[in-house]
Amino acid sequence: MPTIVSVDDSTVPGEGSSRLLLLVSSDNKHIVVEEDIMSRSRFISKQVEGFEATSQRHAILLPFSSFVLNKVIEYCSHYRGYYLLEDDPDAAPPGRSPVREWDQEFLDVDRNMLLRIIKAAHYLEIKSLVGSCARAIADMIRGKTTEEMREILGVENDFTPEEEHSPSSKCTG
Amino acid sequence: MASNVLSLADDILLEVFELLDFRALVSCQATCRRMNRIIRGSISLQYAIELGACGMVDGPRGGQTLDVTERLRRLRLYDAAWRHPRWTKAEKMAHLDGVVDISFDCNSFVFRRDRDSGHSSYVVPSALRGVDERHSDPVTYSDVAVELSVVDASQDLIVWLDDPSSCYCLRTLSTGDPHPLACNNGTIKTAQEPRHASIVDICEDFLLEAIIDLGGSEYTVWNWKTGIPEYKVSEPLDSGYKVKRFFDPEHVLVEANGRTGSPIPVGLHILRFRLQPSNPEYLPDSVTARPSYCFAFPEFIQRHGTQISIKAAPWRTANLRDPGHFYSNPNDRLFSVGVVWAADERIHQLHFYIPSTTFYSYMKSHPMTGTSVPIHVPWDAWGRMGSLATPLMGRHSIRRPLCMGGMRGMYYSSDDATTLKATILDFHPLRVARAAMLQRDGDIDITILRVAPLRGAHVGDEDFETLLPCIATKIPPPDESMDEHSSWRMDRMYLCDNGIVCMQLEEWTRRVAHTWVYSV
Repeated sequence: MPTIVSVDDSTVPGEGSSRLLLLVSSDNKHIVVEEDIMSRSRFISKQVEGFEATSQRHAILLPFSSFVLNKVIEYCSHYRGYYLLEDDPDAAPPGRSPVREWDQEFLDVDRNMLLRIIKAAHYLEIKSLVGSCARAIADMIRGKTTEEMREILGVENDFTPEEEHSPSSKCTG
Repeated sequence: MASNVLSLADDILLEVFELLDFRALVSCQATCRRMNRIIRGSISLQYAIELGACGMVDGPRGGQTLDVTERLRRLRLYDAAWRHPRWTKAEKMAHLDGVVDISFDCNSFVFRRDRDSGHSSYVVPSALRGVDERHSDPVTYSDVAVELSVVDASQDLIVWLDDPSSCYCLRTLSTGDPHPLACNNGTIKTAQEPRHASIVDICEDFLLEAIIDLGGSEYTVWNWKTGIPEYKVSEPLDSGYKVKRFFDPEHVLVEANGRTGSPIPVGLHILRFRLQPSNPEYLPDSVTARPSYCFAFPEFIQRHGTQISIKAAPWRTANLRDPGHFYSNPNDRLFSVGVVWAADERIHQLHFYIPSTTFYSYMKSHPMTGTSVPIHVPWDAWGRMGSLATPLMGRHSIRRPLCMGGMRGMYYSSDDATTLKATILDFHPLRVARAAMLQRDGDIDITILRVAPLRGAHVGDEDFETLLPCIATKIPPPDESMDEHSSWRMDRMYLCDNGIVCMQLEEWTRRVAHTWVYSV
């Protein structure tokens, strides 16, 4: 059970600049980050609303490692102050998120890392990052055969031989 | 933390799948049970897969359009309707009275009336695709055969050359007004002497004019929206090229007719114009355009002299206008090549049907290098170019108006005065593959023409021979056409995305069309 750390409002620096949040990763690293950087995350925003209701600010415990968390913070810092349509809860659900070059470079990581980032982004409800990760995964498997896909995704074939050859279990394309 | 994709939640995986095309989805579905379950459980993914497998593309979303569930339902009905064609009730379309000639693009007919030489357009309706019957009398002009005009239904555009003024007139199909996107209130003044262009063709924003006469060939590519000639090239007298189709903004399909002394082999060539409208300095400053690709015919044809006609389906842009909810993929087209030659005191005839995928995959395998050296490919090597399909060879001609988008063609014969026999041939590789699979399961009763060995001796044979598997679906003639008291002569059938239009003309007394619409 990790320690719950209470952050006193007095730690807030000067008027007008953003307040600070304390995030705690699964490996128990404490990371202090400005609130408006993380406002892209619906999850964090809801937590902050909760703080305001109870006028108590707690550390936010997150179920992933500091390594991943730092990566997400890097993403959020990059887009600090930017409006991204996918992250706007009031906007109509967008079709496909736009391709952003910086994201492609940012997500040029190995599969494990990519999967961790997308899970973290999903947990934190950062739609734009989930969308960019999904695009990166889709790019990895596009144009591949079933066998290559299993390899890339690390998936085992769990069909029985009968199922595999039956057109009714799969779409015939 | 597990590094397996399966550790992701369903809704994350769905987000990934939404980004895949149908081929990737089908492969993905076959990887494991969970992926299979997720993909099968999503209506929108199933719709994407079935659209792909039917060779269709989705139409515009939003506004008054249907939701995905309804689209999927209609798509399945549409697909089934093509497998078991049934004639709808005979309908006499009054506005087709006195039809003289017809130009046809996508689901739109343009035809001319006898009386006033006015032109009318008609859109074949489709309840399933949400396309209403539309009819208009857009254009009145004299002495221009409909067949000499160019129709691009997807852009609501009809173009013809007005002889006295040497102007191209660009009008809308739907109202006959000058096309709103066209330059100069719908006219382009050609710089030419008043000569008839041999070929006028439209592809997206471009209008190709090819003038071929004794002085040589001259090609001009206009941007019809700006009125600027983007590219101009003259060929010397002996080039022997003849433009047949302007089939994408950069490439023109030409035939070489094997004139004596011509260094260019008989066959289909693709001439590349290297159009770069936004980048004029890219244009070659001299006549350097030479075919980059050549599909040469066997020598025996050259020896006997040839007349080659290439007829390609002209559905060519994704600028969708009809409110239908899915469309034939505009990139899936069928080129037909007819070769006629005389030998042994007989006229021989050959027809090749070349799916556009064959062209495109061939072009893809030879990146544009700007080489001026033509690449020669013997026609019987087409199938080995790593393409999806090989040319079909057969004695039946699929007439141009019938080779529409979606890779369906039709041939028909009229054995006696009142009977019309027709067969739809479907060359779409994916539909053929699926039909083969369904046929194995006994769900479907269609004929699949299978690969037959190619022998020169089959020319003139009675049987349809093919190198290309396709689905052949026989359709019965409309009931009314069997009426013994009818003096109607069965005349023409047209195949379009929305169905089949069958016309019957009375030849001697009045020119009146009876039209059956098999609409899907």
